[in-house]
Formats: sequence, C-alpha cells, structure tokens
Amino acid sequence: MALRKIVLQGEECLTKKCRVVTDFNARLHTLLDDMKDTLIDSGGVGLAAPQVGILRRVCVVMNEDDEIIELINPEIVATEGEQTGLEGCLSVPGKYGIVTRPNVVRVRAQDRDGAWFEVEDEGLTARCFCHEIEHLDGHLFVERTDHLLTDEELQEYIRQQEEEDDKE
Amino acid sequence: MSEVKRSSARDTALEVLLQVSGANAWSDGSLKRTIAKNKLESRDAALATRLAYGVIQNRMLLDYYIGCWCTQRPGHLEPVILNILRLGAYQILFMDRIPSRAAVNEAVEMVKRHGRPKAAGLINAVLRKFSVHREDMSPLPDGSLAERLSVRYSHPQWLVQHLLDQIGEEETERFLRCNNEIVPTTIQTNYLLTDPDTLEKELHQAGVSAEMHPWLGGCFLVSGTGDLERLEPFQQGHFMVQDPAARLVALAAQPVPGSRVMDVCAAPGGKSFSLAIDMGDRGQILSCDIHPHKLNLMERSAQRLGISCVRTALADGREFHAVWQEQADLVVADVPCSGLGIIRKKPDIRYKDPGELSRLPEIQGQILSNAARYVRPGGVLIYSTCTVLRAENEAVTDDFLAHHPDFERESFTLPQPIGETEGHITLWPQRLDTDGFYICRMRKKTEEPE
Repeated sequence: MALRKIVLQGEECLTKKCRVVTDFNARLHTLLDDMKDTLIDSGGVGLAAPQVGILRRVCVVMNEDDEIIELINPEIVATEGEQTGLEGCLSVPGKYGIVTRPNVVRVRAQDRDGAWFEVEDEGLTARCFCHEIEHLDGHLFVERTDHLLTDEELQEYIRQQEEEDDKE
Repeated sequence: MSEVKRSSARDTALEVLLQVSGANAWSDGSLKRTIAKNKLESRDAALATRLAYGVIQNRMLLDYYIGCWCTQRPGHLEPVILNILRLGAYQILFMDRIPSRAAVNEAVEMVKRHGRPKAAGLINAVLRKFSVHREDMSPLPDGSLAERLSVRYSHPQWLVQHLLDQIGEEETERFLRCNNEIVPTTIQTNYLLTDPDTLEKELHQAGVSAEMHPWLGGCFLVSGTGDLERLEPFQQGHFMVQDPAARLVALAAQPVPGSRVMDVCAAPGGKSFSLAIDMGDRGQILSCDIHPHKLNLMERSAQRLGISCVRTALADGREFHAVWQEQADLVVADVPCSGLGIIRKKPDIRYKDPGELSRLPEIQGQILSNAARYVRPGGVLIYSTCTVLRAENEAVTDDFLAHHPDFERESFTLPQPIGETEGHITLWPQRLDTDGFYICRMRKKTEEPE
C-alpha cells in the first residue's frame, strides 16, 4: 500500500492532455493500487492519474456502494438528463461550485488487463465519471462554474438542500 | 472529485460510545447532546442512534467475535480502535441495508481520521473476517447456560444467573431478547386539557403515527416522531410521555380527587402528573426531590400540562420532616433503583457495576420507612421501582412490613389482562410489553395493634 501526493491547482500536469495507455503491465497495476489507496485515504469519490502527476488516461471512481471502479482509456458513450449540484475536487481543496452535468452517464473503458467493458450509473457517480474524464483532457470543474462559493454561500446551500431532503 | 462532508452519523455514534464507555455518561443523554452538537439532520440522527444503541445492546457478542479473529484481546485494544471495530462489526452482522464493503471501508477511513493510521490494517483484516463469515459465525462459547445466554444477548453473567434463579430458562431468554428490541414510545392523554379522540387527530395532523394502546385507556403508542417535544400537541401540554408501567403506579394508587398526596422521589415528575390528572387537578400533591435543578424542570412540566395542584419541595427521601408527619392520604415512594427493568430504553444500564447496586436495598428501605411516617392512619403507601430484582422489590417491602405491623399489603385491580393483584406485582417487559417494574400497595391501619 502506498499513498501518492495529490497535486494542486496551478501545477502544469493538471492542464495537459493525457496519453493513451498501451501497456497493461505491472507498473499500471501498481499505479491503480496506489490511486485506490490514495482515494480512500483522501475521503474523495474519484481520482484521475494527472492528479498524482501521471499523464496517462487512467482514473478511479467510487460508486454509491463504495466499490471502486478502475477506468483505463475511458470515453463517455451516452448521456441522459441533467443534474445541477455542488461539486468539488481533491486538487482544489475546500472550494466548491455549482456545476450542471448529465444525470445518467454510460462509459466505455478498459480494465487493468486491457479488456473493454461498459458501465452506466446515475447521480453522484455519473457526475464523477464526467469530472474524472475531463481531468484526462486537462480540464478542472472550476472552468464549468460561474464562481466558487464562499463559506457563507456553501453553508446556505447545504441548509437549503437539507430542507428539501426533509420535505421528501 | 470530492464531496462536501457533513458530520457523519458514524462519527457521532463513535463519540457517544467513547463517552459511554469512558466517562460514565448515560447513552440517551450523550446521544441527545452529541446529535445536537454535530447538527445531524433527522435521517443521520436516526442512524447514529441505531448504531450507538445497537453496539451497546450487542457489545459482549461483538467483542466475543472480535476476540475470535484478533490476536489481541478486545479489552487490550485502544478504546477508539475497539469501538470502531464494534461499529463496523455491528453494521455487517445486523444491518442488511449497509453493504459489508461500505462498512469495512468506512471503518478504515474512520480509524485514519481519528489519528490511528497504523491500525487501518487491523481494522481491515478483522472486519473482512466478519464480512466473509457473516452467514457462518463461530459457535458461541461452551459453558454454563448463564455463560451462553450472557454472550448471546450481551447481558452480564451475574444478572443472567439472578434471572435464571428467579424466572427460569425460557422466560429469562425472552426477557434478554426483549431488552435488545426497539420499543415504541407510550404517551398518555392529559385529560385536564383534552381527550384521546382529539389528541389522536392532533397527532395525525402533526404527521405522527399513533396507535391506541391495546389495554391501557387514554394511552397511545407512537413511532416515527423524531423529537416528540417539538410537536405542537406536546408544547400545548396535551400529552406526556410515560411508559405503561409508570402509568400503572397511578392506577394502583387510585387517588381520590381532593386528597393530600406526597411523592417523595418525584423527579422528573411523571407519576405526580399522572396522579394529578386522575385527581382532576383537585387536592394537593407535594413532589419532593433531592436535586434542586430537577425541581425547576418539574415546575415547568407542570405548567405545560396545566397542572396547578402540584407543589415542589427540596428534600432527601431519607430525612424526616416533622411538619409532614401523618399528613398525607397517599404517599408514593418511587425509589432510586438499579433500573434493570428499563434496559430496553437505556441499554447501557445492564453494564452497571453490581457492587454499586448492592447498597441500594438499604437506601430503598430507609426511604420507604421514612415515607411511611407521612401516611395518616387509614392512608395508602405505594412503593415502586423500575427494576425486576427481588432484592430491591419484594425483599424490601417484606422487610418493611416485618418491622411495621401497622401497615399491610392491600390488593388492587389493574386493567385487563392483569386484573386483580395480591397487593404487589412485578411487571415484566416480555410478558406485557411494559418496562420492568415493581408496584406494592400498602395501607396503614386505623388503630394501633394491641
């Protein structure tokens, strides 16, 4: 088990387009294992390779059952609906913004041995697929939001959400 | 990607467990305070409550299994680590809704957040065993019946042995199982301000599901209420929360409207109020307690319920006050006790040190003898506890009657299915779905025996 350092906004590697993975070897497996450990340790729900300084098309996403999905060379093949909500990033700690994303997302990717598979999910996990795959093209969520929320705005937003939850 | 983290239900449950096992805090009070401090929303508050109570109710069983798979004895683990293990194990074994994997991951994250990253491997290894073996757990230890029941239902062995001697194997097991179940709350209509039909409508309007108590008139079983005290009908004093057993104390006392009553260990006041309601708020009830701050709380509750016949006084139940001598038509002595009848509501009571409990019968006897001096000739004396142990119940009243020939037990009638009693009764949770309680009714003879 090894933890990797998560790089922060401002580092060049977060703005670069990542290269396709062609070798499904032990080095890739170590990278994936380390990324999973780093994700669990950070308390986040998704992590892309450029966030640990590796410019390859690799990311890991934790779904609502707390299972971690490994995605290599992922592409979004279908989307449906829309959701608007709060989003944050391990490379932009403590900052949150309102971002609109599709509500259902279908992804095609390779597993750690190179086999292609498809996975579909909704809600938070769908949002996370979009967020991580954008990292692989050098984009951060902050480019998709008008402004980052101040602490007061954030508290207010959470309070409103809780009231809506209570109504349900 | 990262999410906004609200303070989690699991962290709150852990905080409560650490307070309960460390600083001698009681679980119900600690839960209330910690949920408020962490500002949990209602769904998370419910989960935190279920987790904390669940671990306390199954602590010995969980520790037994943890001991099977952990090289260190559970008692030697650091409290933070042990309680994170218990929380994870409880979720895996008892909560089908939570996937085992999530329980394991959460526990691993928790131990890191609480500054023990080196224990993450241990937590992971032990909890994975629980998740793999949840369908075929290790057999319970061999040994005596008391030992097996003790681990299976997480009650201390001394208590199990007492019960086996008192009520036999089958009832003991039912009692123990019943103590680990979730109980609905019982509330009583305040007839001074409303009637059961109106109250039922008000409760439904407030979104509370209320069901008539199967055999206790004017009482309802309520569930899904969140914080009952925030409800409009509560604020208006239309009901009070009271277990059927506590209500039965008033029914055993049968106070006559206009009479003079003393409640010598009154806080938090439920029995005084129940008596006041039965008396139509006519007469005088003097509610005493040894703690000044509890008197204020009682006065506020009385005000909420629209009761004016209750007055409070600061008094130690063991100390004699000559001004009250032979003044009361009815004296209620609901004495401090081990509380072993209310384990289903306060699950940690079972772990009380039995050494501390052994002093109780002496104190209970002193309070009862002192209370007896306030009863006028021909008046009634009620002794009650919320425990089921003979030593605090029959043994205390037997001893009192042996030394006070001017008193005798008097039979009383309670609602069916109980019916007529022989002057005293022990109520059991596994029999009538009430708290475990003891009620004894005695009358002071009008003439001194020759």
